[in-house]
Amino acid sequence: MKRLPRRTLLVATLALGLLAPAARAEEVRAGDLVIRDPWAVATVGGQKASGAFMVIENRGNTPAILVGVVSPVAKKVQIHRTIMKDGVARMVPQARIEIPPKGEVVLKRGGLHVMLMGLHQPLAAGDRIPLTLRFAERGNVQLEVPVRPPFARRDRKARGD
Amino acid sequence: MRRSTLLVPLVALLLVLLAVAAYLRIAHQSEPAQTATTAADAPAVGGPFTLVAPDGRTVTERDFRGRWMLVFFGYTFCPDVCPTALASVSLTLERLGPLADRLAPVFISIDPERDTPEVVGAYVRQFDPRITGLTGTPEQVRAAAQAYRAFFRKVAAEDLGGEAGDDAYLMEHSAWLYLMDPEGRFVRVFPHSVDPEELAAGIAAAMGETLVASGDKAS
Repeated sequence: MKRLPRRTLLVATLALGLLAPAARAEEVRAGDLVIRDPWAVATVGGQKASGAFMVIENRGNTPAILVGVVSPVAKKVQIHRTIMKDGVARMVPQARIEIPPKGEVVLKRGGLHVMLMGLHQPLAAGDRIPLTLRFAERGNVQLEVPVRPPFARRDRKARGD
Repeated sequence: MRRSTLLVPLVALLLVLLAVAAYLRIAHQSEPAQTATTAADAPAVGGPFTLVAPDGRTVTERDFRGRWMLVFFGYTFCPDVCPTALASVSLTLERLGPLADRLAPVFISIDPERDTPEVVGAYVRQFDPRITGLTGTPEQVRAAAQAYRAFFRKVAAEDLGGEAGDDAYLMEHSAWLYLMDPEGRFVRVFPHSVDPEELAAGIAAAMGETLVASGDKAS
């Protein structure tokens, strides 16, 4: 595959960033990793916890191992998996998440999420919070994650709001 | 007796046995489904509760008499299951249209330590102002969960790799949506991940109403 010069890419990315409406298909590339559509849930009324979701794609030829997430906004950040058993919901901390080569792992409701516990400040829709994904061997990936309300009504979404 | 004459009744007998076996198998297979329905229909789900509304008012199950209730237990620290359920309830209210006036969705926090009345109120309002968020003293909350046979358990921070006494604990909890009739009697449950269309149809059916086919919702 032909590679575009880095500078062209940078300019294109900046231009896209300026043109693209907020919260539309955000993407961060770091080596062979691509992080897509990251977002964190806005808090209300003194809520001390929140979650973040995203898609982590591994375009490399070896498994990528996510070993942790850190953020200055929270006292503790963990990766959790939601497990439903006999109608009871549990969240189980995950020590590591493996993203297979040429594969992706989706952090979404009903599965995996980044759990932000002991927030130092409220997260308001429209804010952006720093989040660092720590991968074994591949190093750290820095993200500026947009904060959105916990849920956008489907009809509102359909209108492109 | 010749072999061929013996063969016919033997084959016939074999066929009958196979048919009986097949019938028994089907009957056996359908049994768990029936038991599940009976369990959901069993009485003694729901009952009296005394809790606290976001404005500090004490509310009981009697305040909801005359309206259908959709009850869900959860907590605002919860980033996954509770928003999914509340989002589904919100879309269901929209789908129900005028029938939604006859329904009182109620979110009961099983984490009163962190979920003050104000926090619960602000939390549910983001999904839909028609949802009532309730909390209470630990005793009040425990009694309400027991009435609904809902399970909940605190998972301490140290079990999550944190420090003892840290307030970053989690809760495990039953994630059913309980539908109660206007007299406060239990009707049925829905899973928290239920599709809003299905939930709206289920509620309308319980009310004895039919939903107009969705499609292009004029609004």
